[in-house]
Amino acid sequence: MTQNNEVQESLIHGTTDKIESLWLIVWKRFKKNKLAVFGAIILVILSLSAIFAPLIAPYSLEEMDFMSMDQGPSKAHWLGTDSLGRDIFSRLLFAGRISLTVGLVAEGISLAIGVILGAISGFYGGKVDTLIMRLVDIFSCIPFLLLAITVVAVVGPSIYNLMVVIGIIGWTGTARLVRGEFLKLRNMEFIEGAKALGASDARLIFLHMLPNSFAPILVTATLGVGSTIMFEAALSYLGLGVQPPTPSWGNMIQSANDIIIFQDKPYMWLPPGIAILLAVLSINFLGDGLRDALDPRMQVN
Amino acid sequence: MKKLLEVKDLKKYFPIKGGLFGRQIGAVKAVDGISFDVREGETLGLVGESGCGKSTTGRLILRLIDPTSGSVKFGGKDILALDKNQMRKMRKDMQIIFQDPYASLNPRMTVGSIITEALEIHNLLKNKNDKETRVHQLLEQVGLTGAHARRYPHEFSGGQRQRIGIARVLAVDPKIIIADEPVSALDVSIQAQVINLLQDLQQDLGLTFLFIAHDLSVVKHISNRVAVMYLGNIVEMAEKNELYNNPRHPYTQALLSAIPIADPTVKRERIILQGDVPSPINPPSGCRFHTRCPYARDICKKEEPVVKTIGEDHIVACHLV
Repeated sequence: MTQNNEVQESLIHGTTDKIESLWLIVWKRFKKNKLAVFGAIILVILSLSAIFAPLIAPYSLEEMDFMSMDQGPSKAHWLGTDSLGRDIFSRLLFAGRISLTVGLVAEGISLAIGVILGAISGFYGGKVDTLIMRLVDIFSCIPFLLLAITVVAVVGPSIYNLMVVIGIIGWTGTARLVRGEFLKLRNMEFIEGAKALGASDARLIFLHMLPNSFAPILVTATLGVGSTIMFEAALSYLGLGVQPPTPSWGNMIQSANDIIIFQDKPYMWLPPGIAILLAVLSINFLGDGLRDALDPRMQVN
Repeated sequence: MKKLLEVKDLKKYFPIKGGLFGRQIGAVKAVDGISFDVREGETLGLVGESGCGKSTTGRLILRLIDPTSGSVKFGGKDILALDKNQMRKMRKDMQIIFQDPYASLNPRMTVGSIITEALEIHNLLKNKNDKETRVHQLLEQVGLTGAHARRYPHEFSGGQRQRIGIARVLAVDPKIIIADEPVSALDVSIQAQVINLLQDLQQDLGLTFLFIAHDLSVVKHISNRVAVMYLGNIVEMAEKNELYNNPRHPYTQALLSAIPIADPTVKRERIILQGDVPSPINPPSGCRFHTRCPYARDICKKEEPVVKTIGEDHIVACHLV
């Protein structure tokens, strides 16, 4: 009771200096989730190693060592060399750049499409809403992989085509989510209050509704990056994504196609496999942690 | 006194859609032809049970919901004829205070930016320092301090949030404020503070209120005139003391007999209404109150009562008066 009074007191006089913004509370909750923090740390390490790949990598991307092709891990080549004598560790770092970038950019594209269409759909409702939602239905009943393979086969495989294709296919979930959030927010009193003040549609959407649906959007976007990385790996593995000699984690696993390499030289396909696993797993941990931290129904203990 | 707001035959039917192609299969007659006016500087209380359409009325006047038919004139201007941009400018003069102080403030904005937003939308002050001074002044006007501007709504109690909501509304210098059950969600002790604040502000700033509530004692305290609503209609409207001392409509009588009296020795006959409020989808024929009215006659089932003027400023819609 006394404590309560003190809080009341300090509120009335504005004496406490520390202002608890919502994000600070979120951070406090997030910190408690060990798995999520672990995921975040792994992601930071992976991203840093990708960003500084040219500085870290002991060899350049195309450098071939004809003296040691198909070698196992050694002092000179930490993870061994591939059949062309290229250093696998260096390629792994550069591949991280490609895979993470494709994942982020593709998710960025589908996020942009999804948020814009979902926002329009939820804000205006009516015929526009019906139209957009039917479009979502159509898009989401086409098999993901099949469409991607077809499109890439037509426009030709390249990193950029890959990003655009994955981005254009993956927006439906985000659109549904944002629409749902907007439908919920549309009838909240603070939105009505802003409307009564004369706020324009743009102000309502960008300053009131989007910031308030930021939490679920952030969570799907995070989890989305994970599935996009998987998707890129799958397409590259099939030879429809990133084209050699540019390395990506997906096309590095391609070498496992060879039954002899698969059985006898696991050092060639294990590292990229583990990299994908680590990246996706930590992204999912991070996403789950964010979801728990951002859920307003969870209380800070 | 000058009429600031004139509402005439205002109707709102919410469509009920059903079937495969979303055809309209019915309508909720939330507000079914109500007329009243609010005079400059007065407080008109609007009372009625839950679901009688009083909140819808408030939102219709502000065009937060578009009416089915009728007219709303503000300062002689028909606001239903305004286009989107004209309406946006008009909103400066008409504001609303909401019932739920927990839902009516954007949780992602600081109190300062919530109030500044009102200034920005209507381009009231250009200079950043002027805005800040004005925000502090507004916060002090509603009994908070300037230091609160940097805080977020979740750090405040219900009563304090309602004060913030009032400060935001005052920022644009409105002429009329629609108070949609502004104290229903608050503790009784806090209710009195907020009511007194509203009354002080009315005196200082010359505000006009349309005060929507279901608490009859609160309405009696703050209003000059009171209108009683039942199922989308106004059944009686009069000057406050006239209505409380001399209620003529059976529904008003029943409502007033339900106000508790803080004196155990006073005996009073309580009129207890039978049944529930009928559905506004299929309102009863004739007088809408006849299904629960203790005095109902045949004519009440058949004919809708006309609004009669039975005294100065006292109107009532009942066959028996």
